[in-house]
Amino acid sequence: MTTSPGKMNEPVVRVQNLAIAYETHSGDVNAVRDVSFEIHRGETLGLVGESGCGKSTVAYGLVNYLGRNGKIVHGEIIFQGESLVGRSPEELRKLRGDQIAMVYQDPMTSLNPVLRVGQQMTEVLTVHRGISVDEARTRCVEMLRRVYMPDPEAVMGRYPHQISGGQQQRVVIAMALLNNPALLVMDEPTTALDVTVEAAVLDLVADLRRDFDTAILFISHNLGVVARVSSRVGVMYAGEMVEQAPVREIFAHPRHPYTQGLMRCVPRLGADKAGSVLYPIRGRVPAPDRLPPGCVFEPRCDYATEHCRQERPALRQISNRHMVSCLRAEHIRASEWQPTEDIIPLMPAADAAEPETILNVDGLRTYYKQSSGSPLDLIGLGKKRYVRAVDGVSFTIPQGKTLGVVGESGCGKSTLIKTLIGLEPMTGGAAQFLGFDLEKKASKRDMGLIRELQMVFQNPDATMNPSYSVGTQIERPLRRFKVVPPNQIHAEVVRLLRAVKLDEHYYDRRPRQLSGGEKQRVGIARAFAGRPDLVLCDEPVSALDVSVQAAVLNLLLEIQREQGTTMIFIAHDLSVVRFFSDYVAVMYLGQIVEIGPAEAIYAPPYHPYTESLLAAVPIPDPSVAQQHIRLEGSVPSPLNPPSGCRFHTRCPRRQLLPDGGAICEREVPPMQDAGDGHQIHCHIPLETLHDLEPVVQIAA
Amino acid sequence: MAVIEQPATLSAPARPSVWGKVTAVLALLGRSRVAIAGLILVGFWVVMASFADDCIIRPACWMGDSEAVSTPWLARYSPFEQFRGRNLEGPSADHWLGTDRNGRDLWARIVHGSRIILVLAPISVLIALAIGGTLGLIAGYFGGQIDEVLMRVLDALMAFPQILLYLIIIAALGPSAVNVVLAITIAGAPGIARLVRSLTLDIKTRDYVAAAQTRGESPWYIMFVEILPNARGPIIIDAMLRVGYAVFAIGTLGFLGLGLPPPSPDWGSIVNAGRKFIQAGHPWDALWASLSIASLVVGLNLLADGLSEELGRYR
Amino acid sequence: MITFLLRRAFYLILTLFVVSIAIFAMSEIAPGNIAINSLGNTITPAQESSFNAQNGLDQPAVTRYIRWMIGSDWRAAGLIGHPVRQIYEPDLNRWSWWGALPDGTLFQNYTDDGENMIRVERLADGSTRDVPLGPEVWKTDAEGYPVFWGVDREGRAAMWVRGDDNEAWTLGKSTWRSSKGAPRAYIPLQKGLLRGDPGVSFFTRRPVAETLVPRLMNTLLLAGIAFVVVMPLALALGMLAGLNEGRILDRILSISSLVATATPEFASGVFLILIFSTWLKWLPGAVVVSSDTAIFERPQMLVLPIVTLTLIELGYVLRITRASMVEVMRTNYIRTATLKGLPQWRIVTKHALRNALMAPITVIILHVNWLIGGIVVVETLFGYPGLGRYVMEAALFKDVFAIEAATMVLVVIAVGTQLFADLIYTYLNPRIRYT
Repeated sequence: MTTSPGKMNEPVVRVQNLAIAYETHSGDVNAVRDVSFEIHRGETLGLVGESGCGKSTVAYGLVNYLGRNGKIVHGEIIFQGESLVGRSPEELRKLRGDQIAMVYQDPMTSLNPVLRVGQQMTEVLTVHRGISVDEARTRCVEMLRRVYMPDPEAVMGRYPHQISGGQQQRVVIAMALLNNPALLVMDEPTTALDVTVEAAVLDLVADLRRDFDTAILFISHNLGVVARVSSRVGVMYAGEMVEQAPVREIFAHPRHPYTQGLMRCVPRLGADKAGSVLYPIRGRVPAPDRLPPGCVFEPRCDYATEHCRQERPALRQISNRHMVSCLRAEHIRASEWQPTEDIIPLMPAADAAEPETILNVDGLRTYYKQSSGSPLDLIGLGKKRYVRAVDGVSFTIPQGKTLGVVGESGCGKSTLIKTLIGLEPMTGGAAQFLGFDLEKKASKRDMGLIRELQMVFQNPDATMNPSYSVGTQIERPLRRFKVVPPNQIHAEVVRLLRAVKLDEHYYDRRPRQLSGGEKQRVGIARAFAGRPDLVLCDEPVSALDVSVQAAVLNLLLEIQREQGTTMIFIAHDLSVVRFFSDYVAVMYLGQIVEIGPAEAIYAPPYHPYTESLLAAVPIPDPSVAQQHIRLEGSVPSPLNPPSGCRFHTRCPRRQLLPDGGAICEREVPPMQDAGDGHQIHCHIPLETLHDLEPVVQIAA
Repeated sequence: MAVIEQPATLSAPARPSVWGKVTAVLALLGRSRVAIAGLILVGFWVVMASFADDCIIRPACWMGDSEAVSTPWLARYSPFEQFRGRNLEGPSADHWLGTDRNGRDLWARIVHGSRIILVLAPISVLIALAIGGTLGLIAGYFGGQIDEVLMRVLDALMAFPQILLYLIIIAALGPSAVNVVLAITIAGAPGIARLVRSLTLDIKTRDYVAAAQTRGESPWYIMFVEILPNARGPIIIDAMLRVGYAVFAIGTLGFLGLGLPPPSPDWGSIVNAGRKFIQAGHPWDALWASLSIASLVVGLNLLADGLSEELGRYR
Repeated sequence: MITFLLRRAFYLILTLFVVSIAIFAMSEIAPGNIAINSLGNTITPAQESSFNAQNGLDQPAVTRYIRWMIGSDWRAAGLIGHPVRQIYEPDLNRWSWWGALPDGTLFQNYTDDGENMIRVERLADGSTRDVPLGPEVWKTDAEGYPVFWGVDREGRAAMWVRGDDNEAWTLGKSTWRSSKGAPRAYIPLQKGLLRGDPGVSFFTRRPVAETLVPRLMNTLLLAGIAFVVVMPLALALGMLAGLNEGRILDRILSISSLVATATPEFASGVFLILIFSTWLKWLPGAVVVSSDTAIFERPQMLVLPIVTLTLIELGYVLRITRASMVEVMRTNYIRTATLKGLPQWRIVTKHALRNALMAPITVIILHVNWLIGGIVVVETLFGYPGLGRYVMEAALFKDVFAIEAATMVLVVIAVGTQLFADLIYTYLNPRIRYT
């Protein structure tokens, strides 16, 4: 890197009052307004905010890649002392991939499917550096090794679909670093990855920043991720930068009401529903073409005054390196905040006598048939192979309680509840619910059973049928289950809408007129319409922004308390599961490795897999110390799971056993009872597990 | 694309009326110059077909009653009236487009020909839609063996060059309006089934379908109430293109002598009859009928094209 | 990858099998019978039943399907006890079937009285001599009748019954002839479609293959030239339009390709004839040739048919390619390539091209079905002596074996190109090559 000595203290990039607009049919829409920041060498600026706040627009604005309808309308981008705005396409091209590199959200689609990894990497060097292909290859292999890619030479010759998601992201990162760029822009680089892979990639980012001295702009919606990698954090809201401060400062003393609101929305790891409350931010992010005249956050702000309604605040420095755009920042104390009356704090559930078991699952198995891919298949002679999605799962749930299920993608948690509700055929084992056998598929089940067993789905955009109004869709289960007499159906729908905090105007709305959170509420109303005894929730909040997520979680808790519903709750976010559940099951490759009361799962003794998961969780608090335990490799194929303990191929604790855990490869681990229904399936003695250091030191 | 992050805008009136929908579609069409051009071409022929004579106000005529008693409106003459001694004339004030070898007015024949084609083409597409749509839904929703068998049969039908299907069906059953519709239906249904199947495969993975299954809804309810309405966009656009193909096919059949039997003023048949006179210096029959059919098919394609582009842009 | 291709090939063969049954069934269910269709409606019932028996039309459909597909000669040879052979007789300008004795002598049989069988032996110079056979040739069949299996003078396997005074009608050059001592049962000899013999036309009384092959060659020439002209041009223009999405060049290309592809071939053909033949007098408006094999007499005759065929295909392929290119240019990996700072030409040639070709290739090849339709129309319009016109005429005259054979040939071409498309697709798509 050739930076003249005089510019050493200059920031790598300085953005001043940047404004970006998109041309639409109804005129220009300002997606980003008046955004300023600078990033120095070796510094990572984390940019957080909910979807639609303009984070990615800023990132693509930096490289002036805004599509045909996007344009920079105002402001300055100074990169290494020179302005980027108004540069010719050819000049920009020479900067891209050389001085400024990018890493993207979805590594699979970011790599060209028809070109080998090697070809895609070497061309960055041959185009920008003009070196020979052979030399470029050598440097690419080196770089792959640098990002801890196993067997880099072989990877060079592979196509993107032949390597795992985590490896693809390593390739993209290595490709970005090849020319030792001054600025690295990372747009949600870990969002598409599992938590254990995410942790490894984040470690890598931190290492690279240190070793390459690069300036990094890191964009994420996840406060925990940003807390882990950033040195400074900028919070964006509705296209504006509302707060900017060093990472510890902003998490310890958030000054903007929006930042404070965000932090109150997410459960801390270890918090539970009995001891803490999530406070959603009321209202929703305004559309870029209908911004309020004053402060953009004013309509949702608890501290807003008339002044806020009229004057738009500018980003200003309020203490050393802490900037905030709030007129009343000096008057706001986060610790003195009181929830307004429309956010009702939840009462802890009264502990009744030992409730009876409502669901009893014993040795449940769900296999999918998969053709072996041999030519013999054509005539039906091929060997049948089975994906063992769920392979011998047993548990019980007492009435009115919640069982949380966690595990990486592909662990079988979704298949488990799909089997219970009858969407997938059961291969073996048994499940009893209220005296009903859950063996049959949903279409063949008794109406009484169907009514008592309902489901809440993950994707808000798919949970509602786009062709019908909200009312019609809530009516359907009411009619089908004959919950109320036909003449009361309308009244019942309105009651249900109110119960999920939507008013009756929503009756005639179409799904496309609703936000993600509202759709999810309607989905909940529909699931609870028949007053079911057991509701299965398949990642109901994963696709929602954090402020909405808190509201939906609160809603589920409230209905559960009113109706005494039992729930199975799936999520990949361990903090959310901990907060929401009474019991937690940890799944790996179709089996439960650990199950027990929620508080027991999150403290030793734990299964080594649970331990690694907890170590990987990004915690939105930079002051929390977390142990460094990382899993090697990727999840083995459920077509052919490892022998003995399925986790033995990746287990970081095997060496605690004699012979380096030879027994783990041979024998299925025994169930060890740690008391109070806490079961761990592991060869390592409980005492040893008990003496392990807690992964997370949770401040009291 | 991640570049444009915009929250959903909360707007639009509550329950849109039918009229509101119509205006919305028209407004959508109005944005696309391509669609407007298509609308003008198709609209021209629809008007011609509707008001060729007074048939539209006499219900007896709709049932296929003899056209001889009709009073010509836009057509000016009956398509069957032979003007003695005026055969094979070029365009003139009396006969705008000229006359054919039997001295019949070409304008009248072309205008009446549009009626034939604009009735037969949509009918055959609608029937193909009903059959192919149902098969596609069944294959896509149930999957497994049913899907496998249905798709093999449909693949075989699609491997069959359509023209051969037409030839064999018409050759076997003889040329008539019913057989033309039959041939086009059989040729078109597999394609529709494939499209609907692929849409069904996509839509059936949506959570609302799973929600319906967990309510214990019947497969038919799920197929026709939950899935089909959400597949309508691509189906409508495809159907519009298929009406174009059907017009194309009816014309081709007529040209090959397999269309409606004479003296019916079928456009393809007019080209077929007229092409013998091209070299003799009387290209008018072939020219006008060719132009008509080309304009109608192009119009339908433009309309479908413009519509799908606009729909795609604002999705 | 091998599995993928094998699977495709297996399905295609399955498809062909289903199609062959469908074609056979369709000519079965056609109203009217073949005898009347071929011979006119003045024939007597006796003549009709003789005709049906002699041509195997009295047999059940399954038997006829098997004979049509894999022939009947092997079955007949088993009954006769000698192999049968098809030879060309130059002096009579026809193909005919003979039995072959162990020494290679070819023979046919007849009897005048149902008692004395005569063997007609064919000599090397083409002349024949009659050899009377003794009564020992009659063999008792399963039902106790004394029967003899041989080859009759018309070249059919035939079964005579001893002492039977059967009368049969045969169609000579133009008149019906009655004969006594005729066989009781026939097996019309043919090698079967799979062995390259689709039978003898009931119309022309000549083997279908004889006319079909030169016609097929002519059509392949026409379609081949059109294909060679269309593909590079359409792909290039489609890419160009796709890269310039929304600009004026794209608009022009898109609209004109839409018009080209939406105009039926007979209409565009008429326009072309009017412009280039009638008006400008540059090119002939019809193909007039002395024989089916002489289409090169005046190559300029081929121009208008090829242009007509080209127009419609060009538009179609161009539109598909354009759409694919537009889609590819919006993908994340093109964004990656751009933000890697690659020059535009490199992005297009290295990153976009192969992906953009992948999607349309299968769709384009599927369009071969459509091209066949175009060929029928173009050949009819210009009077080109190709397979399209052949199938058209066969359909009009209900020449069953000709329709069946021509249809099968066209379907094999259509299906074969699909397999070809799969090969290209596999080559272009590493996700299939390396699974």
